[in-house]
Amino acid sequence: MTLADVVAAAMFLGVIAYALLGGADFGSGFYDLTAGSSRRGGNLRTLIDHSIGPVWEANHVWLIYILVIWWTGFPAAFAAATTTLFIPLALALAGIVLRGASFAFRKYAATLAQARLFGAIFAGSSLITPFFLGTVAGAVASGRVPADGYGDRVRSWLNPTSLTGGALAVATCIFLAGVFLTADADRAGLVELSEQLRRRTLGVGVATGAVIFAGLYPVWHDAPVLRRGLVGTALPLLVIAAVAGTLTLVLVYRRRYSVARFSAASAVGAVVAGWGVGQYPWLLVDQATIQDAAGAHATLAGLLVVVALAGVVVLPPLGYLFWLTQTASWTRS
Amino acid sequence: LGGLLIDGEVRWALVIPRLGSVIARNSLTAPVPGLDTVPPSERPPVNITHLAFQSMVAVGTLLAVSVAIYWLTRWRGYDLLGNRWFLRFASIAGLLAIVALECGWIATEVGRQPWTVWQVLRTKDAANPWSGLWWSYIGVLIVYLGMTVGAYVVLRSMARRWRGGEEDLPSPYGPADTTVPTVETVSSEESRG
Repeated sequence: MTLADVVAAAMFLGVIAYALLGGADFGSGFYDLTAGSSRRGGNLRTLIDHSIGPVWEANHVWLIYILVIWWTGFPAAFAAATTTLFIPLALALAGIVLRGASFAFRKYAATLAQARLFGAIFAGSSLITPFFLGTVAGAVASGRVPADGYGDRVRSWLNPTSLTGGALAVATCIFLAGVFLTADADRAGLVELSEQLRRRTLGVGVATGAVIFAGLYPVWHDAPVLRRGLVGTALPLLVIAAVAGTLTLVLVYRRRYSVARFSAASAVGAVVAGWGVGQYPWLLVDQATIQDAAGAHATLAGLLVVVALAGVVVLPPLGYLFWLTQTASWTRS
Repeated sequence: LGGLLIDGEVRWALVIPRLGSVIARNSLTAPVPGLDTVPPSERPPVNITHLAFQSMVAVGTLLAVSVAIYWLTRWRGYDLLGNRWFLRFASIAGLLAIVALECGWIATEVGRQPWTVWQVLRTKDAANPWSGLWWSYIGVLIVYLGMTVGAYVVLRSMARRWRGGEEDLPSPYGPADTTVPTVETVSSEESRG
């Protein structure tokens, strides 16, 4: 394990955290989008507002964390990825910007018509963003980002592995959000809403599992390096994902929502970790290993100090925020 | 102070001797390196930078002076809040602050051209060479124009409702006459019971 490996691992922890915390946040857009007419969906939309309001844009700290470590620790690989993949990255960014703004606008919209417009933009961009970030992951994992950058601007992210990555990102977000929203509704004593969300989460869970394991097929043929990793070192993680995912469905079915949140997060975390472990030691598959791409030694050492400081300064308040929003105290205020 | 660079000559500027040396070099005689020390190929668009910087300083000075005048007259026993012209000025002061801010950005960003990183990376080398870059620029413009309109509409409506005496500004997730309880009402009922 070299210094570069440690920094890359710290960066990848950010990827997992963003997939879990940002994912639960993004996925709520799906339930907002499909909540039905303004009369039928009013309750669910209010719940979503209440659930993600306090963490609103907080989860994007992980994206910033990832980008800054990537940029400073592995600058050449960062340049290669951004010059090749700037279309999906720009679209993901547009989604993040539109999503945050329209979520806030909807909360204070004067009329129902305005709230509908902003709500549709919020919900739509909530799904667009993870999709395009997923295609970026697919491009990296299938070796379509050349080490010198300026790869194919379109085919680098419009290919079987990228589309699988996009679908997977969207599906896991929806699955996580379903479990968390059901738990929220249950905690708030909204029986009708939690029952409705429970049914939908069960459906979404089955579909997500299907997407993940069906996604192995295009990856099998399109991304040989990732395939070797997935059946090799990353296999235990895939098993954990399958077990935790199934366990989540059982727990949701038996209405044990607050425990289900942990198994759902474990399942999604294991899937994301499986990708990272599967493509190790490559940073850009087939193009640059973590060693090749590493920047100056002093920068990497400095980054580790920053990561440690950020851990001390940022994690406790963030943990407190989640504790507040995920326990009864926030629900009752 | 002021003035424009036309055909390589400074025109209509107010010349104040020695002050520049005092500000930049802490000396009455030391020369301040001028634009003539920069090769023409490495000069930024001079007039845009110059005017933006001077406008920023002018607006900033105006705002600071107006605050000083307000407190001075108040100390002398006259309340400017009763003066219509002062209130008119105060209402555009917020806008002027934004103008100063934008001018400051123009001064730094235009002023550092043609460099992105000074003497390391030129802007034309830093930019993505793809011709479709215009499309992403247009896209960004449209997204931000839309959000500006959205922010304006929502903020104006909030101000209108606050002036009308509303305090909570409930979110319109459903028709106003909805009878189903919201999260807030249910949970507050629970905590009471």
